[in-house]
Amino acid sequence: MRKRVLALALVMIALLAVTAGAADRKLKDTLRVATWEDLKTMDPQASNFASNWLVQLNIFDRLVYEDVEGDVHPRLATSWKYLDDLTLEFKLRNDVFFHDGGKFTAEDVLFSIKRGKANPISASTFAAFDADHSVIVDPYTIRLKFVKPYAAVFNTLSGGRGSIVSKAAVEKMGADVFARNPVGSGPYKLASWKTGTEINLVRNDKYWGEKAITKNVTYVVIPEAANRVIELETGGVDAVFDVAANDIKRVKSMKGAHILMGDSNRYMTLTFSMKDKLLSNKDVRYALSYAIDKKALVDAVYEGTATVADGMYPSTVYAFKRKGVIPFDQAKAKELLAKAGYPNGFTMNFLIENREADIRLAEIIQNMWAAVGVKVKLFTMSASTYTAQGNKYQAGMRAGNANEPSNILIIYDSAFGERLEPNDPELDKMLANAKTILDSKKRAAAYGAIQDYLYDIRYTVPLAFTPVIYALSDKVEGWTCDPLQQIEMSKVSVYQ
Amino acid sequence: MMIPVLIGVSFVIFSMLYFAPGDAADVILGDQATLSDKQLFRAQNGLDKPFLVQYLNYMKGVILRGDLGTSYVTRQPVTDEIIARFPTTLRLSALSVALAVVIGVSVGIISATRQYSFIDHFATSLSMIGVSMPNFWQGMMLIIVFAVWLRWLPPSGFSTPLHWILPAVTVGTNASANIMRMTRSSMLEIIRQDYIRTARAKGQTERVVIMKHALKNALIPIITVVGLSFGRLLGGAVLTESIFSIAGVGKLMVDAIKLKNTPMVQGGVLFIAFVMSIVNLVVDVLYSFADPRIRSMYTRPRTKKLAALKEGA
Repeated sequence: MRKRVLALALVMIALLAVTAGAADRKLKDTLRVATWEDLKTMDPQASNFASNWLVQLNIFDRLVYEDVEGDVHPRLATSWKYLDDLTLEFKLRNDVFFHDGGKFTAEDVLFSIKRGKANPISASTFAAFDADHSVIVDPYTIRLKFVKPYAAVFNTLSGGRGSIVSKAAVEKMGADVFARNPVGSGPYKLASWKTGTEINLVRNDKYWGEKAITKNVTYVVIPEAANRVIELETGGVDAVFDVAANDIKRVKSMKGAHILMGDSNRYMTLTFSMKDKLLSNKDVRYALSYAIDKKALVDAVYEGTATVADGMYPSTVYAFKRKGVIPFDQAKAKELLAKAGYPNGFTMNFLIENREADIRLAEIIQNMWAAVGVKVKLFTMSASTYTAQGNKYQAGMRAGNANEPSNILIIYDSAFGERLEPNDPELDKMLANAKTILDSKKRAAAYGAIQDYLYDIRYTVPLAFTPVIYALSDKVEGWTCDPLQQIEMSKVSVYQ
Repeated sequence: MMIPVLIGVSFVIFSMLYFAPGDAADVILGDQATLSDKQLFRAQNGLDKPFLVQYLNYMKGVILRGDLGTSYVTRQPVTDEIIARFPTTLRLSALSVALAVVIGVSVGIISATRQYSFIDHFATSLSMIGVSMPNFWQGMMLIIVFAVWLRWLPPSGFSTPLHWILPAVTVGTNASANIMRMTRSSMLEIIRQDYIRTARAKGQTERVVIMKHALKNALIPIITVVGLSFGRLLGGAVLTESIFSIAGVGKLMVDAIKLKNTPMVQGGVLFIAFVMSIVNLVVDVLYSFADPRIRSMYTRPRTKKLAALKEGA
């Protein structure tokens, strides 16, 4: 009896302790995060900026969710199977409502895919979908058809452009109004949007899945990187997206805040124009790649946050093949230049965008190439003028951010045009083929072969894989280090 | 006068953007777009038509419907986007100019009336610093001192009156330096005039002499400078807006230029030209309040006008 009383007392004390602890850590009902730019649109199929999806994925749901390992999880779709190589059948949830009360059905899925195909911003992503021959079997079953076998289908459907919009809402409002007043089925809905200043989301209490922990989420737009960190320091926000490398130290010295840093899908690559007579010589390309001390370069520019590229695309991406860093060997570079008929080097043009990292990378490369006798004229241009130059300039720099090999490698495709223009039929064939292999192992092998080929032919010289960096208040919990910065706010909580 | 100016501006900006290198399709569709995506985009936005056709289509929209086009990036009407941001810019400009006038005119008068005194030297050197100090640097210093160290004011944004203080001070002190120098030199000139001596000789108090006789006559150049600064600020104080993360017209324009969002840039420039013309008009009207001679040029007695008509007939 006494034992029992004691046990009961202990349980009571424990309970008290737990409740007391919970009282100490009261949840805040608003989470404030600082982002670097405002959304261009809330229309997922008209979006191609990371800043857009960052918010949209909390408002819209997708059919499936593909995690970093490449495993596919159900979302709006409960199950799926291939009927043949060109037909994929999805069973859908029947308990999902859009924010305006409308019921989600297979019509909305087909409608969203059709929109993707019609908008030039997403058309290339949805190129393999055959919307006209896709069939709605019943309101909760859809058979998607493809023009050719499409391996990246789950990546596309789980990506931002794969967000399912309400057909009824878009048709009622028209696309332009919808772009400001999104109707999705996600865990949050848009409460208000002050252009260029802030976006407020409020919890969707009728969400079919686990409801959001924090009631309100506010995205504050602060373009200056240093100011985002200052806002965190002064308590204006709880979390910061896209912290600059030179602000890391500042955050680390703050009380009650920390840095969350991890691999991302961002990379920097040096590109050579294949229309140029000089650079179409493989020895010259090899010489230029040997002349760069990649480690010194990357350490200097990214202050130790980035890693030296040891493959043709980011190591976080599917089927990455570790090729090793291209060695730094000035003697070999000079030897190859002499062999190619340029013992005294040559002069060439190097075009970059006027972003800080690009400029610093290019200036250091300029010096490294000068050491082997290659003189470089640097041209810095704004984004719009940069892309308009095509391959008039011999060397260029490319900053990319994607998590699907077929999207990353599109620059080598003849259909892409401009910049590289290898017009390499063998490579075109390999790229087109890899897209159609549905078997994961065989597909990985195909991409492995492409990476081998690209490493060998050296149309590009991969330089750096840059990380994703967040700064968080210590009171924030549930924030994952997502490589694409797509944080699911419904799982994030913040304490007072 | 305003209409030909605006048409001229529209043509100049349209041709500049048309002939400037860079293709909106490249920038807006991003790096994973294929050539056929770009063609689709150009066709959807009428970019495949010849130059004059594009210009006439644009002007038709502007004149008939007051439609400045649709932003390539957000697909929203350019007019809506500018109108959404203009109140912020107007508020920042008005606050800054008000601050600049208060500081500039008062310090200007003091240093003119006490020429070569310590106060004068101090004020002139302060205004030299004000003119030469870069706006963005001053903004950052203010943020560090008042937001980070003292924690009195928020570092960025423009939502509450507390948020207004730092940006308005940044822009205002910079603009006040010009106004102060103009006030000083204009006052110095007037103070040496005979009628000031007369006023003093007549036993008028110094306050009335300065405020009524001297300042009123020195107003014309001051109004000009204030009008110019106000007009310039309404076009957007780009640097200040960037530093304080204020979503104003200047920031909107710079972002549009970066993305070669042609309709937004054109609409923005036209809008700024329009606002500038309005400000100039207001300044002209203010001249006539300050100077009866100018007013008299426009308000001829009725009888004289009739006489003039008769003469003409």
